Amino acid sequence: MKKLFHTLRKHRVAYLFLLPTLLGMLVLQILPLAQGLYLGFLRSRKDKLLDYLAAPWAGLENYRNVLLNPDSPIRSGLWDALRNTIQYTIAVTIGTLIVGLLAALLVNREFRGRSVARTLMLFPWIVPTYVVGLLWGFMWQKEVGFVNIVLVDWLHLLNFKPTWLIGPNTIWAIIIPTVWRQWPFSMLMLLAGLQNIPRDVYEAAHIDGASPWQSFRHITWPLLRPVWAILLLHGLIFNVYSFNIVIMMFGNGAGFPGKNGDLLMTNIFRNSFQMWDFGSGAAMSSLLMLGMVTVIFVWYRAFKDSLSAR
Amino acid sequence: MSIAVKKAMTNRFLAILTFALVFINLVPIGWMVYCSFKDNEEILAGEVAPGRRHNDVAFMEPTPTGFLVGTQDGGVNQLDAGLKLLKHSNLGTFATSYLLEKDTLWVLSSNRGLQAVSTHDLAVLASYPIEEIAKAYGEAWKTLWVNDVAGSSLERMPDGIYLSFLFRDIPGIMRFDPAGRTFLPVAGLTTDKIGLVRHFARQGGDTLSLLTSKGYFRYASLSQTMVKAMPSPAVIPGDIGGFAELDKNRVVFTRGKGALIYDLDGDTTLAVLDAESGLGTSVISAMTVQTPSMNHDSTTPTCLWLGNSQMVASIPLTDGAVDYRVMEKRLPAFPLLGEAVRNPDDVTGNETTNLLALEDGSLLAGGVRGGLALLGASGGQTASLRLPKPPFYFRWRNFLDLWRYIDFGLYLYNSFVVCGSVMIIAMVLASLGGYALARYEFPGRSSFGYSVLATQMIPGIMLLLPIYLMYVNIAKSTGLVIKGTYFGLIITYAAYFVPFSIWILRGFFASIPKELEEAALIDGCGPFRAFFRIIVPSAMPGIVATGVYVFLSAWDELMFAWVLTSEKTYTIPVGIRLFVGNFQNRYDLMMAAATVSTLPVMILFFLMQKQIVSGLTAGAVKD
Repeated sequence: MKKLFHTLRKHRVAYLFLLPTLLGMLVLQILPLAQGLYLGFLRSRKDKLLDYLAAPWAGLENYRNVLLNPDSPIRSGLWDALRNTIQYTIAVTIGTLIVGLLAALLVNREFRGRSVARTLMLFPWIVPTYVVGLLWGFMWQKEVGFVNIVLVDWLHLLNFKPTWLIGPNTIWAIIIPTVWRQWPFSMLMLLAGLQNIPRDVYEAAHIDGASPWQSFRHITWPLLRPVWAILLLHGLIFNVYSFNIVIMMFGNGAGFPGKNGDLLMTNIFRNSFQMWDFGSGAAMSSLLMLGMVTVIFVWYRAFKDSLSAR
Repeated sequence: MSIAVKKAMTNRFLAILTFALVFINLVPIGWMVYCSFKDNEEILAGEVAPGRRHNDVAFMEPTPTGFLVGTQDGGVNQLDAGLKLLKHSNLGTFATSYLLEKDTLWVLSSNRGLQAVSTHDLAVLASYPIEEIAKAYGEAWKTLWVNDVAGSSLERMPDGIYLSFLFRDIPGIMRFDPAGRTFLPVAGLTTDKIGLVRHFARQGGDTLSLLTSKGYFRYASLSQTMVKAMPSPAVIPGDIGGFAELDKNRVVFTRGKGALIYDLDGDTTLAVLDAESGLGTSVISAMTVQTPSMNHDSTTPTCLWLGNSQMVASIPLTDGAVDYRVMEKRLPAFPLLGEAVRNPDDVTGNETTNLLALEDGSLLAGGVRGGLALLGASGGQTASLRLPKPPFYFRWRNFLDLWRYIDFGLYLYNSFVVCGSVMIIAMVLASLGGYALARYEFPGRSSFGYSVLATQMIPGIMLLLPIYLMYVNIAKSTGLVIKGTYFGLIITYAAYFVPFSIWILRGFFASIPKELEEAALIDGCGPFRAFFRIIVPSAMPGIVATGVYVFLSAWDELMFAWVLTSEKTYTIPVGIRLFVGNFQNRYDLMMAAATVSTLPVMILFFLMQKQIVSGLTAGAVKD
C-alpha cells in the first residue's frame, strides 16, 4: 500500500495528466465492454430495458442460437452477413492497396501538376462515408443511375441496364464505393513510404541491369512492407466494422440491404435496435470481437518482424 | 537520343494516366454537386444535360404586325404574321404572367415584381420590384420564396391592374394603380377569405372571376362586393385543377381526369366531361383562350385549353344546343381541328399549352419549351418556330428547400457543436496524455499504450448497446437525461477519440527536443507551466492536424449518433438518414444534402491539408 502511494506520488504529474482519459476510458469503454460481454449471456428483452443487467441468466443460449440453432431467424441472416463481410473486407482491403500503390507510384515522379494531382486524388477520402453511401446508392440506380448511364447510354458497353442494388451485384455495389473512398488514404501512406526509400538504392539496381519490375519486386515492395502491413491491419479493422456506406445505400437506413449486401455490423445493429434482441446482439458482437482478435493476432505474427525492424 | 525520347514519352503517358485517374476519381463528387443543382424531374427522366428554365408559352396576343408571345421564364418575343422572330428579349423571371395594354406589356413575376415593357423595342419602361409590392401588406408579407411561386395572375380592371401570386405566404390580391403608381390590397380578396388564387380572369365590365383553393368567386371591382362565392364542394367534388370561362355564366372546372361545365346562374352542372384514357397527369391550370369569338353563340366552334393535356371544345349544334367535348391533346384524330394537330408533338415540340384562334379562322398553338405553330384554317401547319432557349440559370432551389422542408440548419449546427466540442476536449486531454506517455517513465506506461490500441479494436456496436442502456437507466433512476443531449454524444465521442489521439500525439511530443523544457524547468517553471508555455506551442502543428482528423471522423459518425440523439440534437448523418426515408425519390434534395454536408469538411481539409497530410504520414511511417 505504502509502495503504491509512493509510486503515485513520484509520478503524480504523469498520472494527473492521464487521469481524465483513464476515467473516460473506464466509464465509457471498459465498463460498457464488460457489460456487453455479460449481456451476451442474458435473456434480454425490450420490456426488461430498465433492469437490463438483472435479466434472466441464459447461459450459452444466445451463442447457441447464433451459432447452432438452425431455426433461429438470426442465424440464417448471420451466415450471409458473415460471408459478405469476409468477401467485402478482403476485396476492399486488397483493392485499396492495389489502387493506392499504383497511384502512389504514378505520383512519385516529377511531372507538372504533381501536387495538384495529389491533392485532387485525396478528395474522395474527405467525403463522409454516409455521403458515399447516399451518393453511390443514387449512382447505382437502374434507370437514373450515373453508372448505367455511362455504361449503357454513353459507352455502349452493355446493351441492357443491369440491376445493381438487388441480387448478386450488390456486393460489388458496396465494394467499389468503399475502395473509391479509401484508396487515397493508402496512396498517401504508400507515397510517404516511397519517398523514404533512398534514391541510390534504385540507381544501384539500375546499374546492375535490373528491370523496373525487378526493382519494384525486390526493392520497393519489401521496403514498403511496414507501410502496407499497417494499411492491411487498418483495412481489416475498418472494413469489418463498416456500417455507414451499407446502411445509407439501401432502403434509407432502416431497410434490409438484402441477402447479398448485408454486413455483420448492419446485421447486429438491426437485431439489437430494431428487433430489440440485445442478448443476441451482444453475443454476436462478442463473437465478432473474438474473431477480430484472432485476425489481429495472425496479422501480428505475420508482420512482427517488419514492425520491430523499423 | 532515342532512349531520351522514349523516356519522355513514357513520362508523358504516365502523366496522362495520372490525370485520367484523377478525373475518374472526381466524377462521383462532380455528379453529386451537379445533381444538387438539377431539377428532380430531369434526374428521374434521365436527362444529363444541364437544366434550363422552362420557356413554356404562357401568353399569345395578336398585334398589328403579327404576334406578341410571352413565355414562363420571361421571354418576350415579337413575331411577324408568318412566325418569323423579329425581336426577342429575356427578362429572366419566374412564374411570369402577362397583360397587354395598347403599347405596354405588363409583366408580373415572382422575382422581378411588376414590369412595364414597351411592345415596340421590348425595353423595360418601368419596374416595380417585389419589395414595393410587398409594402401593400406592411408587416404581413415579409417573405417571398421566389421559387415557390407556382404562378401569377394579372388582369386589367376598371379601377386598376389586379395582380396576385399563387403562393401561400401572400396575404391576398393587390391592385396596382398605374397613374398613382401605388399598390393596394383589395379589400375582401384576402387569402384567409378566398384561399390561394390559382387563376383569375376579367369577366364582362367590372367583374373578376377567381378560382382559388377555396372555390369559385366572382367579385365586382367597382362596387367592391363579392357577387358570387361558391366553396369548392358545391362546385365540384375533389381538387379543382383549373378553370376557364365559356361565357359570363358558364365556367369550366377541371379535375384530375376530366372537366365539368357549370352554370353559375342556376348553380347546375351542364355537362360532365370525362376524358377516357391517357390522362395520367392532373390538370394544373386553366388557360382561357383570348379570342374575339369567345362566345358559344357564334357559329364557329371554340376551344379552351384547360391544362397541359386537355382541351374543352364547345361545338354549336344545328338546333341551337351546344355540345361540349373534352379532348386530349394526344388524340390521334382531332375531330375539331382536322389534320393540323393530328400529332401535336410534331407541331410544337411536346405539348400544347396555349391556343389562339385568329380572325381568319387559323389557329396559333403555343407549346412547352417554346414551341409555336400556326395552323391554317383549312387544316395543316403553315409555319412553326421554336423560341430561343432560355439561358442557363443557377438553381438554388434544392438548397433552399433543404433548409425549409427538413431542419437542415439545425442538423448542421448540431454537428458543428458536437464535433467542435469533441475536437477541443479530445485535444486538451490527448495533449496531456500524449505528453505524459512521451516524456515520463512510470509504471503502467506500456500497458496503457497497449490498452489504448486495444480499445480501437472493440466493435462500436459492442459499446453502443451498454452505453445506450446505461444512459436510459441513468435517466430513469436519477432523472439526469444524457441520451438525446449534446453532452451524452460529446462524452461518448470523446471517450472514443481521446485514446486514439493520445497515440498519435505521443509521436509529436517525442519529437520535441528535451532541452527546450529542461531550459524552462531551470528557469523556474513548474511542469504545468512548462507544458503549456513551451511544449504545447511547439507541438501545435501536430495537435491541429490530429484535431482536424478527429473533427472529420466525428463528422462522419452515424451509428452512435443515430441511437444517442433525439429530435433537437440530430447531427447531419442522422438527419439525412431520416430525410432519405421520407423523400425516397427526391434525388435532387439528397444530393444537395450530400453536398452541404461534404462542404464544411472539404473546406476544413483544404485549409489544413499540409498539416493533416504530414501529421498522418509522420504517424504511419516514422513512428
